[in-house]
Amino acid sequence: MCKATRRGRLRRFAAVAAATALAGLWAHGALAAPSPPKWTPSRYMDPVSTTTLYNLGYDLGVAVYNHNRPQDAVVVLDYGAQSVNSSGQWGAISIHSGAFHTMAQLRAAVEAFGRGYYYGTGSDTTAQLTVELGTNNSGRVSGTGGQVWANAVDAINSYFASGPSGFPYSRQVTAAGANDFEPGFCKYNPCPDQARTWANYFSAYGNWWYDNYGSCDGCPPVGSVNYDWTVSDIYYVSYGADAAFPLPEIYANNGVNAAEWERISEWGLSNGRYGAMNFDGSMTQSGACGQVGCNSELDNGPDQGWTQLWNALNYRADYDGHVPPTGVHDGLEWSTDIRYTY
Amino acid sequence: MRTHMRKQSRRRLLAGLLVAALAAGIAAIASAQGPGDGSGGHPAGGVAGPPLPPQKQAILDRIAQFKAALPNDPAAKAAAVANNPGPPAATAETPPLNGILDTSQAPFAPGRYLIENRWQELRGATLHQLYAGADASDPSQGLVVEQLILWPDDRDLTVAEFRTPVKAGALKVTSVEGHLATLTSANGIQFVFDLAANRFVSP
Repeated sequence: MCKATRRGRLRRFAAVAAATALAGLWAHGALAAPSPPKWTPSRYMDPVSTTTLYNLGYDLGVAVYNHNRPQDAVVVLDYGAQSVNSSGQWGAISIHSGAFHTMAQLRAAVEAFGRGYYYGTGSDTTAQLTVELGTNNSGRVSGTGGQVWANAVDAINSYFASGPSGFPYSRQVTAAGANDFEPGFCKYNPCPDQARTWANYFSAYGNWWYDNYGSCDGCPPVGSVNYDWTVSDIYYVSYGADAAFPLPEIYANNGVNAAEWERISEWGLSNGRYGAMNFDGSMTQSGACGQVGCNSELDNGPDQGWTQLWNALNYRADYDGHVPPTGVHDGLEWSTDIRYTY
Repeated sequence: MRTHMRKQSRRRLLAGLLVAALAAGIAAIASAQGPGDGSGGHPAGGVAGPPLPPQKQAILDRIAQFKAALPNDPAAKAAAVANNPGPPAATAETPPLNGILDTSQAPFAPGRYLIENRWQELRGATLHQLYAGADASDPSQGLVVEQLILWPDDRDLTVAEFRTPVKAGALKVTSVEGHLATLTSANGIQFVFDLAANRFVSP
């Protein structure tokens, strides 16, 4: 065999090996995370006017039609803390103006948003929106509260299925629940127990799911969870309850939030009733930071937050270099960024 | 001779490294789970993740069945869009609550304050809000944050922070009479905040 042929074979083999190694590194995330998905704006809501909500949904639908927003989108409409008014009606108190809205008002608002989206997408019949009715654990957190929230989500989905004939809203719009569970909102026992009860009742009395778009204040690797909360509590309200999925806040520029949520999933892999968590995506708050200011270290943009969480779950945490076990890997479908809507 | 042996030895080393790189690359591809590898389920479908437990999968299956039973004639959407009634008629927004609100939520930057509760009252076209709590970076430092909002425009007019003269822990609003708000700290000390003068005054 001539030397030239042997050298040629060696070169071809070297090229194949190098390409394979590079592909492997890419697939394992060593070179770069995949491009983040297009993101959607979520909202801390004051308004419940169906005109306002329809227009917000319509604008999103048009943006999707024009390929400026994702074909598969999630929007959380956060109406604040659950409460009961003097007439005994359940509802929520908005974060900014402190207005009490009844569940009927909240249902109508989410329905109008979904309806607007449907029409805004025009001739596009495949784009999908999940619009989530959001609350938090800073108010009345109880089993009944979870049931009330689940019933509202069911009712909204029934509305979406009711029309227009031939191709109802439900073909493109799905309603889900959402809860911004944060240890800092309700710090001491029985707060975590009440949050677990909320999650149980939502799961037992509803037909749909909810996303926890909360925080994991003080979680490992920083320390233990803040106040009377435990890793087990955070896992339970994020994934341990049947209807729960995580859509966590990934705010910190240094990647610590992503590292914390990977640790929660890793804890679940070994100890959780349902194993490692199947994440729905990530939430950031750069929009809200632009409106009310924020700690300059907590203003991740949506692409930054999504990439940090992806790295933490699939390759190596930006914060501390921790390499996740294979069992926690997750592709992360959604990316959303929250702002105030007055 | 020695040069030839060195060349052969280098070739063997190179070949060994290339084989190792090839094996590592194949192993990495096999073990990686990127988006869309279909290893897990998801409410909206199509994204990789840990496998779902039967309890969660049952929810998604139920939703899929619900959707599968619905009419699915894309042409009908064109008709719906053509006959779109447009947005519903405008309705008035609900006015803010008056009094003490027992919730720790607040429209401020996360990580700045630990809010315990708030008082608010709509006076004419101005919503007066007084948030009570502590500095998140020093929970022994009680404070209030006063915010004025133009209503019904729902537009922020002013926001200002006032710290207690002594560190006594997080504050809670316990009562408001006229322009004087009484607050109680975590360790039981009472403070009075003058909403007209915008400062703490002697109880």
